[in-house]
Order: sequence, then C-alpha cells, then structure tokens
Amino acid sequence: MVNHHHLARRTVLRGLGASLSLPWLESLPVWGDEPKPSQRSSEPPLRFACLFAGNGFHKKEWWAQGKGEAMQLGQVLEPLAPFKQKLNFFHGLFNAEALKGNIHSSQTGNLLSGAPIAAGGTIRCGTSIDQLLAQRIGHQTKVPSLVLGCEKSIASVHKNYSMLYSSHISWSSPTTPTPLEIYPALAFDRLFKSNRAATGDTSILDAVLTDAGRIRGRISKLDRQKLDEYLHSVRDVERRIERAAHEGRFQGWHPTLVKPDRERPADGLPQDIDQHMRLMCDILILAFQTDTTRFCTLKLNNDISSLRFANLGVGHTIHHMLSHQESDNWLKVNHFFVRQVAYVAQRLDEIQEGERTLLDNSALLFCSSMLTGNHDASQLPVVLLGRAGGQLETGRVLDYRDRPNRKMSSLYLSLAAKFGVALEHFGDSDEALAEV
Amino acid sequence: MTVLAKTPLAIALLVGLTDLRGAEEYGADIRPLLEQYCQKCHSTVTRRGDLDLQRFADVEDIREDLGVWRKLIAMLEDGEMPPEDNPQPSMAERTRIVDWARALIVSEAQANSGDPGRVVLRRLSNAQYDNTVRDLTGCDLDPSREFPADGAAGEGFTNAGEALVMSPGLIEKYFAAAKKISRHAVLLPDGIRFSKYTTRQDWTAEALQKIRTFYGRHTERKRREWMYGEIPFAVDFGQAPLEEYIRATLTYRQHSDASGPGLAELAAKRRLSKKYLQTLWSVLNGELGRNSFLLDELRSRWQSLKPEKSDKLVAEIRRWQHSLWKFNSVGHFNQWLEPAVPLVRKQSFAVPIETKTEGEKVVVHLFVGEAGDGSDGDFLVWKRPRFEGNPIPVPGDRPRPSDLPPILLRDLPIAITSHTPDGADQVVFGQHLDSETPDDASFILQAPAVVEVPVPQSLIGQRQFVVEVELCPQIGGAGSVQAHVSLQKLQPVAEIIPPVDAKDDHPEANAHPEPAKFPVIVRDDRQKQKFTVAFSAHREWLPPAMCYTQIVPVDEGITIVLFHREDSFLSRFILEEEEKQELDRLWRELRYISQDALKIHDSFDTWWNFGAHYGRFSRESREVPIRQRAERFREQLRGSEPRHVDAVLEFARRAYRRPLAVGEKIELLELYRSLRGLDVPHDEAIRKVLVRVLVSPSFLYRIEEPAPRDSPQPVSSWELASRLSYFLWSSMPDAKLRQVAARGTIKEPEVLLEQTTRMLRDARGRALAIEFAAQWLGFREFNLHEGINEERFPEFAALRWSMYEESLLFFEDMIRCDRPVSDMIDADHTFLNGQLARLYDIPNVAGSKHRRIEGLKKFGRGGVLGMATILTKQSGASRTSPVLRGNWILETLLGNQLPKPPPKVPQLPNDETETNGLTLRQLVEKHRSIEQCAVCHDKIDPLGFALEGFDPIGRRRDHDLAGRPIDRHAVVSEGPEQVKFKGIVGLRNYLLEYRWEEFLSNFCRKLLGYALGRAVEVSDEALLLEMHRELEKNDYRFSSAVITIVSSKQFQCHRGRDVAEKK
Repeated sequence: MVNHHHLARRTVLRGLGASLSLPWLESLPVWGDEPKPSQRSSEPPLRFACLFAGNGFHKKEWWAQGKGEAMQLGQVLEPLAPFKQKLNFFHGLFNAEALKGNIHSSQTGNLLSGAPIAAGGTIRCGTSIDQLLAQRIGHQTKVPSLVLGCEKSIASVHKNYSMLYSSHISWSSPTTPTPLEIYPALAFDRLFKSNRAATGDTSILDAVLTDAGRIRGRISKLDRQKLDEYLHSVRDVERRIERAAHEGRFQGWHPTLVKPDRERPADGLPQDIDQHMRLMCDILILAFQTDTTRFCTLKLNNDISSLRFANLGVGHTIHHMLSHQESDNWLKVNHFFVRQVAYVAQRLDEIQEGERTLLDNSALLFCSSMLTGNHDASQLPVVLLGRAGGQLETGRVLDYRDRPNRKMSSLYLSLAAKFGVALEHFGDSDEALAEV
Repeated sequence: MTVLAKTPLAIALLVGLTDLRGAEEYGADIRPLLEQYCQKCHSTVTRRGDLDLQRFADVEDIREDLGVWRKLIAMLEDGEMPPEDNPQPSMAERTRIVDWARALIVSEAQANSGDPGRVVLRRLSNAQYDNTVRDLTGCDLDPSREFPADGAAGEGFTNAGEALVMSPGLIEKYFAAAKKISRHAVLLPDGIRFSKYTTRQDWTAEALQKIRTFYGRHTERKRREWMYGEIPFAVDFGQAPLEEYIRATLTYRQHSDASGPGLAELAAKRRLSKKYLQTLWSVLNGELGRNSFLLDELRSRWQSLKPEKSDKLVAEIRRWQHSLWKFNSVGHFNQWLEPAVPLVRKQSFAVPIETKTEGEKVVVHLFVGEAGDGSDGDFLVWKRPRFEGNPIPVPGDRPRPSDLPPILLRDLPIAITSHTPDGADQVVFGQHLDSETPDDASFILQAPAVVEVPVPQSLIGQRQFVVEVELCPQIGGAGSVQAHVSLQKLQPVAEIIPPVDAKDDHPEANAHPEPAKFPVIVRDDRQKQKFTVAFSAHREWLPPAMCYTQIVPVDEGITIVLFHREDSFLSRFILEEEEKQELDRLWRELRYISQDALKIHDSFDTWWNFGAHYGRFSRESREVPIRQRAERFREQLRGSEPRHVDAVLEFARRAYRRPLAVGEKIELLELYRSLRGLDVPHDEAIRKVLVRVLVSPSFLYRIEEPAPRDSPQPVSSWELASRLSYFLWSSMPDAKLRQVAARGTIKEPEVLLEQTTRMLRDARGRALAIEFAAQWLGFREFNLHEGINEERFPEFAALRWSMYEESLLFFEDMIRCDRPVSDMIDADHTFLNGQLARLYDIPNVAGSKHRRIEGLKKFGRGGVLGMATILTKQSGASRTSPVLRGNWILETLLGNQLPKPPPKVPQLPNDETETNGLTLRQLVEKHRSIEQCAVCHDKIDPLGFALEGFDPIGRRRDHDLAGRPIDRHAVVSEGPEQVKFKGIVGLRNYLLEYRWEEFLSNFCRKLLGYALGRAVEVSDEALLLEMHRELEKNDYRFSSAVITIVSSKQFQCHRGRDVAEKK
C-alpha cells in the first residue's frame, strides 16, 4: 500500500517535469535532486535574523559616532550600549525602489529584496534575502526559515498599492509574501512539534499532490504559477516529514541545546504587547540555540502600525500616530523596540558555542523602512549586530552618505557571501557593500 | 497650473483611433512631447513614482499597459503634472496628448471590450474558507481563527488571487484545521453529519437534545416529584397544552356554523396538532368515548363553558388524570405510566385532633357524597366511630400504639347532627329507617350528607378520631359513594369528586403508595364495572402525558437502561406520518451515536451483580437479549460503513463545488481502502479522507479549467455557480444553485436572474456587506478598532460593536432588500440600538438589538457620512482629522487618486486640546498655506471641515475638546466656480450635485472589481458604463448593478487556456 502511494507521487513528479523552472523556484532545487545533507563541519553555523520596526524612529535620537567601546549612541539606541563592540551602525543606506510609489504601502515590502514593487492592485515584489538564503541552504535544519510577527497584517489597497507590502518583509517568491506567524504557540509548534506523521498523513499529502498535478495540466499558465505555490508548500511539508524520519543521524557540530528548555507558550495571542514581543524573541533565540532554523525575520510591528503600548503608559494612541510626533512618548516607544533587540543580543551573547558566542555566529539586522515617522526613506536606520562567525569586523560606525554605493541590496550581497552563497547580483545591486 | 475640462472615459466611448493613424501620430507628435515634458523624471533610469514613460517605444507597448496612460490623462487634466516648477506644455499640447491617449484607450476598450481579464487563481480567503466550511458542515467552527490575515489586491479586496498566497506554514495550518474539522464529523446510520462538538458523549447529548426539542414542539415539559417512603422520585414528561386545545374547540364551536376557520386551519394558526384537536373535538361532541359518564359530565360542562373559564375545566381534567394514572420510576421492571383504579370496598380514616389554642372549638366532619350517580343505594355504614389514643412517636422507628383506651363516639354525651340537602337531623346509632341495624356503636348515612361531631376536648385528651366505612351490605350493596373525614367544614355534594385532589407540582399528585383521597366506595360488581368503564374512557382519550421527555432514567436505584423511549401517546394522538418517521430517525440516531447497545452489554456484569438480589430471573434470561441486541448493533455498524463512504464522496462533491471525475472517486475510495489496510479503524479512515478533501487544491482554490484556446471561453455551469456564490455570499453554492448548475440551466438568463435575486435576498447576503461594503469603505472589523484614546473616550470600547453592526445592517439591508445605492449618501434611515442612539442623541430607541430608525436627517445624520464607524475610523486617537475624513471622501468614496504626500510633512498635534490656542481647523488651514501642500489639501480639507460637527467617535458637537466653537463651513472650487456649503447637510448636497457621477462610477468600479476578483481594466469601461446606465434606469437599486455584472461577458467567461500572457 505504502509503495503504491510512493509510486503514485513519483509519477506526478515526473509529470510535472520541465515546468519547474518557475520564478518561484529560482533557488529551489529541482525535485528528486535534493541536496544531500551536507557534511556537518565541526564549526558552528551562521545565523541570520532581521528584526523590523515600522514607522522609523525619533528624528534626533537615532545616531551613533565613534568606535568600539568609545562609541556614543543616540538615546534611541542606548539599550544597545553593552554591545558597542559587537555591532555596526550604518549611516545613509537606502533602498532606491522604496522611494518610488507611495508612502508606507510601497516602502516596506522590498526592504529585504530591493525589488521594484508593482502597483495597481497586483502583487509583485522580490524574493527577500532571508528567504533566498533559506531556499539555498535552509534545508540543512529542520525548519528552513521562520517568519514571525507581532501584528496582524493589513488587508487593503492604499493609494494603488496593496498593504500586503506594508505587512511583509519576507517574500518566498516575487509574488508570494511569506505569511507571518503571530501566534507564539504555533511558532513554537512549527519549530519543535514532531514532524513524525500520523498514520495516513503521507498518503494524504501524496493524494493532494496528485490532485494538483492533475489540475495543473488543465489550467492557464498564470494559474499554474499560483498552483505551484501550493505544490511546493505541500512538497515542503512532506520533505520535513521525510526528514523527521532520519533525524539525529548527523555528525559533527551539535547545538548547545537539543530540546527547548522552556514550555510551549499558551494558545492564543498574548494580551500585552510586551509579553507578545518577548515570547517571539524567546522563540527566535530558542530556534537559533537548538539550530532548528538559521534564518528568521521578526516583524515587531507593521508599517502603519496600530499597536499600543499601555505597558509604557502610552496606551492612549497607536504607534503610527505617535510616529508623526517627535515626542517623549515616541522616544519611549522607540526604546521599547530597541530593548527587544538588546534582549535578543544579550541572550545570544550568553550562549557559548565553542570559542564564540551565538551572537558572534550571527548577523542580527535591525532596521525600519523609513528613518523617521514622516516617511523619509532617503536614508534607512540600520544596525547590524554580531560578527558573522568572525567574518565581520564590529564596533564601527559606517557612513555611506557620500559614497557612490549605499544600497541595502549591496549589504545583502555582502551578507550572502558570508553564508557561503555567492550571488552575482541581488535586488538592484551587483556589488558588495564596501567594508562589510 | 492648467486644468482641462474632464470627460469621464466611460462617457467618451465615441471615437477610437485606427491602428495606422495611432502609430503614426505617436511617433510624430506624442512621443516628442513626452520626451520634452515628462521624461526628465519618468525615464527608464529615473522612474520617479515607479513610472517609466520612456519604455513606450510604440503603440503596441502602450496597448500592453493602458493603466499608466489612464493615470497620465488624469494627471494632465487635473494639471497635477508636470510639477509647477518644471516647463509646462501649452494648453494645445496638453489637449493633443490627452485626446490622442484617450482615443487610443477608447479604441482599445472597444477592441477588447468584455475581455474576461487577467484573473489569477484564487485561494479561498479566510472569510470564504470559514463561510464555506460553515455551509459545508452546517456548523460555525471559525477554523481560520489562527490563520495569517489575508492581504488585498485588485480593487482593494481580499478576494483577489494575487494577494492570496500559500506557504508551507499555511499548508500545515490547513492540514491542522482539516483534522480539527474532521473530528466534528458524526457518523450516522445513513450518512454523516457535523456537530459543533467532538466527543461521543457530547454528540449523544446533542442527539438527546434533538429528541427533546422534537418533543417540545408538541408538548410542554412538566415534572412530577414524589416520595417513595424516604426516597424522592421525579419524572419529566411532556404534556399536551390542553387549555389551548380546549380554547380552540370553543373558538371553533362559536364559528363552526359558517364563516370561521376550519379545525385544521385553526390548529395551524395556533400551532396545535390538527390531529389531536380533531380527536378532542370528537370526544367533546360525543363521537368518541360515548360510554363514560365521566366524559358525559365533561361534555355537559364544555357545552356551557365560557372561554374565560376554560382553565377550570382543564384543572378538572388534570385532577382526573391524577386520579386515574400513576407515574412510576422508569427502570427495568416498571411501566412508566400505570392506570390507577380509585375504587374501594372499604375505607378507614384516622384524623388527629389538632387545636391551635386551648379551648378552641373543634368539629369533626363526616362526609358522604353520591359519586355522581344519584343516591340510589348510597347507604354508608360508619363503623364504630371513636377516639383512639395518639400513636407515640419513637425516634428512628415507627410510632408505637398508645396505651390510652379508646372512647366510642356513642358513649360521649354530645349531640351529633347530620345535614342533608333536605335539612338537619339527629344521628342515631345502631339503627336505620329501614330497620337494617348495624352494630350499636355504628350508624348509617345516606348520601349526600355531612355529619358534624363537636369534639369535647376535655373528655378525649390525647386521642384522634378513627372510623371505618363501607356500604351497607343489605341496602347499600348497589350504591356508590365517596366518603371523607375532616376538621374543615364540608358541604354535601351530588357530583363525583376526582379521587386525587392535587396539582402536578404537588408531591401528593403521585402519592405512592397511599390510596386516593376520595376513592369511590362500591360493593356491587355492576357498579364497579360502570366506574371502570367510565375511567377507562377518560384514560383512553385524555392521557396525562404524551411522552417521557427525560429519556435518561436517572430515577431508579440501579438500572441497565440508558435511554428509555415512551412516546406512543404522542405518536397516536399528535404526530403525522412524516413526523413519526422523523422521530424514529432521531431515535435510531441516538441509539447509533450513543452505541448504548454495546455499552449496556459491556456493563451487564456489573449490573447483574448489583441487581441479582431481585432473584426473579435467571442470568441467562436477562443476558441473552442484551447480548443479541449488541450483536445486532455491531452488524448495523458494519452495514452502515458503505453509507459513510458514500457520504464522503458526496462531501467531496460539495467541497469541490462540482461533480467528481471518475478517477477522483476511485482515488478517494482507494485512499479509504488503503487506510483500512493499514489497520486504521473505519471511523478514523473516514475522518482522514475528509481531511484529504479539505486540503485538496480543488477545495482550497477556486479552480477554473478554461478550454485550450486563445479566445475568451464561457465558464462551465459549475464555475459560474461558484462565481455567483462567492460573489454574493463569499461561500459555496447551496443546494438550489447546485441543482441549476447540474442541469446546466444556470446559463439561461432567466434562471441566472432568478438565482441572483434569490441569493441577494438570502441571509448569506450579509457576507457581501462585510466583504464588499465594509472592505471598500474601510470599516471591516471595526469591532476591533483600536485607534481611539480610551482615556479620553472611555465609552468607546463598549460602543464599537454597536457602531459596526449599524453599518453592516445598513448595507445588509441595502443588499437584501434591494435599496438604492444613493442611500449611501442620502439615506434618511439607519439601524440603531439604545446604546448607539444615545450616542447619536436620538430619543425613543431602547434595547440592545438594532432596529430600523427613520427620519434620521432631522437629527443631522443619514448615509455613511453620518456613521460612527466612518467618522471614527477617519479620526485621530484624541482629535478629529479633517484631512483623513476629507481624504476618505475623495479617495475611498469618490475614487479620486491623489498623489502621495511629500516626504517632510508638517506634524499636527495628537490632541486637539494641545494646539497652542488654535483650533484644529486653523492648524490645518495653516498647513494649506504652504503651496506644495495646497494642491491637494484645497480639495481634501474643506470636505473634512464640513464634518467637524462630529467628534472623534462620531458624536455631534458644537465645541471641540478644548471648548472652542466648531466651524463647519467649507469652500471648494468646481472649475471657476466657488461652491460654499456647511456641515453634513451641505456636504451631502454638494456631493449629490457636483460629485454624483464620480461616486456612482466609483461604486460601479469597486463592485465590479470585487465581483471579478481583479483590478478593473480599460476593457471593462463599456461594462462600467452599462452598470451606470442600468442603475440610473432602475432607481439606483443595488440589484441592477449586480445583475449587470453577472450577465456580463467578464463574469461569464474566462480567458482561454492558451491566451498569451500580457504584462
């Protein structure tokens, strides 16, 4: 019986044949040609995370100057003071495509891809750097990538651009914003719930793949692209189940933690935003520590965010309204976001992986899609924590304002190289960022 | 700045370009102008605002992307572009570009008119998924609760394929949701149903409840409690509402001569059983139950009964029911209802003499009645009436007899008087008129009579009155009487008294096992027979209970019965044939779901060990039937398995919204079989196949299979049905729609029209209010709106739901009752509950339920402009926002496209009390004095100013939060004209007079975009125009726009499979 289904699936896969070189798949291995689990080296792996905060920061208090321990930080960044020697502050990076189009709804979606954003009610952007890396090398871990958020995405079209762009920084393909997991318990399950299938699960997945294969031949080319999102998603789930059957056979480096050392969070959404963010940060940390995934984006809030911060005594108004004023309350809220970053950095830095800490083995990007609340994206606020496994010099303030290349995409090219993924070009850039 | 006179494209569908002329002119005239004036910013390199005009090398390129050129026309006409500080084209040059571009678009629109357009494969949105699962299962399970929120695309709705993505994470959620849903499936003897519960115990309770609800349709639930010695008992049962039936018979009698309603009609009107009403009518008219003097008496009372006295008659009937029936606990040995026969040969009385005060005069009354059949032979012997010592109570034991010697009444020095209707007389011991002498301490009384015995308390001490009675064998042998002894005064009566004198809720009503209070005393067999017959007839036609609504017998110490069915009276008297079948089906389901046959068998040992002491039966005799029943049930389970497999196939048909292909059917069956082969039990295997259906792309996506052509192809009947149902209901087609799809008649215009109108009226039309109207106008999920400062508006949180419901009901009503879309601007009605009416300051609306309120304009509201949802959503947290409100009117309501604000916008304070002495309006006006801002804000702000009479949560106000008076005046430019108006009324009139066409066009555009799930294209212009015209022709009725859409080529066709993909 089992064999029968296995055969059935293989037939489908063959049937799909050549059509698999679709944009969605640009970086996915062709089926049946999966990468062999790479020989694990004894070196701990690199991790990439991006923490995003919407609506920018306090105009006057986002700055840094000096070097190493002597670095001075603007008020917003104060919580990062303990990590002066482990961070780089970037002045003047920008994303040219985000200057086109509308405010908000076309500023955020391409932050991690540098791609042009389509207007007019269609959805097209670019595969984001985290997803691209995950698609190339993410299958070395149980979960290729984790896409988290603390605020529900927004459903509308604003000035001719879908607010999907405002709500998603991770994109699995140019037409597929990666859905955010905002439920801590479900994110935890995704990481740690056993992938071992219940009886019949694989038969079911095989069966629906057969459906999709049958349908595929009868629908338009346009629809086929859409259906392929489905096919590959199912295939991905199936692959995880297959991998689960072979768990634990790898040699070489072992994560410092094998199982989560904390309980599964409660079901549902946490009542308070500080709890919510803290739980999501903990999940990110746990994911890296257990080496369950190496790529994670955490969208702390949306661009045009409606979060409120009763915990800071500014519960009377929403984040977006606050961002339009350079007030003390705005500063307080900025601080709160940076404290989340500092918390992650601190916890990662406490985890020793051989000679280096987990923070040293990471590239932890903190950024927003505009510098301040008035939609100014001509320079982006960017901080990068961690030494990327010793490949990155830290403790620097890097100023690109007067340099010819100040593209975010160049930064991503640099980072990809550190992950061993050589890209000729990414987004709107074909050269790495100087000094990174 | 130059402004050209605007011509809506739709109206300009007049002259197109010939291909040749267009191409020539572009190269010669138009392109050079663009190079000169536009391409500094909009070249392939600069691409300011994501706009590249350089890439349009020839007309073909332009045809591929006409949307850009529509915008270009608008920009030139509005004088938005080129920016002021750049070289400006002359008026003639502007006109040349605009005319040329418009002509090209027109010719394109004409050439491609009705093109189905680029519709991307649509996954079910979360709302559609929820609704579809609801309609598929009949249960509101809200399965998408923890799904990621959907995005919007196309015209701004979450039903556009592009925004509906898939990911491994989402697949896992669909998988998990499907597993959850499958756990709600309840397997039944003949198929599958879904329940909101997931355990057998809950399903059993649900099945039980269904039966009780069924019983409740015809009966009133009553409860009777009684004591069996020290043990309390109770039984729940269903009683026919006799009083209503009796009243109905009276009404019918009154009108039966001529014009009145027939019995059946009357029964239907009063929601009574036609069958039982007919039966009662026959009984009361002597056609049934003729040989009973009890019923005769009932008839004669009914003959003269006044409607207002019907309760008295019913009470009498009830007393008789108590007298003639006994309820038993339902266990293994008893009948739940047992006839009682209140006939005795002898009766004894023991009446304690209780006085409240010393020296109070106490009289014992001895009563003998005729029992309703005259006084012939009614001679009752009162044997040795006496005072006996009171029994002495013993703690924890029965009282012991007293030591006091009895005192015969005869021996007491008192006068004893007998009262009869003829007068008073002395009672004489030991003799009688006819010289039939009893014992000399006894006496004889002829009914009716009451004897008064004054009690000499000083003589009797701690004694009670004791006597035995029986008919005098010699002269009273053929009589029948009722006797009683009481300290209360009694009247001699001729009528028969109901032997049990108690109400339902009185413990004595079922006083078991004590005898009735007034049994009929008889001696002669013929007499006995007469009463027995009379009683039986009463029992036959007037049973005290129709059914045993308790079903679960919890009133027995030990029982092996899980569910006890008693509803034969209900079936016999009340249920029609169809209802009987329904009830049988419900019972079959209960047995099947609860699997009681198996459970009883499993617990037989335990029961036997407890119950063995009954000793009346052999183990074998008890066990065999139980074992056989269990075996039969197992067989039934096996036999029903194919029904479930069939039901899964049927489920798949509905879930996929089309018939299954043979291959699909085989594959589903194959999966079931292979699971069984893996030792998965039937029940589980069925659930897994359900899961498989629920994660199939055929369920999760709205798949359409166009023919392999490169021209537009009509969608199939099934595809059309889905298009229709997801447009109007955001859910799957229902049975009626599936029927016309299966027949193929859905494509006939009349049928399509009929279905569309039916569906718009349906309750599911509410989905269109939520998914279309609320999403368009931006108030969807307003019940969760967080944008208001709760410190300043503490009342807001509690009002959100009421506000949301108002807006939803307004649109639901517009959709389902087909009201004019102009109501959006101009309605004089809305839907309010008490809470919201208080906020709106509208009197005389109370209660938490919304209701329709007319005459809204006189309270300064009406239409969406006066709705709290809109006003609040477009406000700051602690202040109003004329900018947001004005912008909402322009962009959302009228569909204008304004450019994005420049990067460094000045800031407004968060709170309108923190404005340095200026009003918010003054601050906004200051902002407008900056020329760069004024371009747009001259258009935006005045509209918002007119709404300044509403505070941040939509309350009317004359002063702002800082106490300054509100200025609601507005001035806008309409060409050379300056239009002035004030407040919501002025704004409304302005919109109706100057912006009406824009509003209507935008409505058409949004509705079309929603219906098609894509952005509206140039090729839709003709259809938009038709919608516009149809609305005008039909008083702007909502349905006319919908009908135009569903009749269109765009809605009924899709592009062929082989159509070349245009960018």
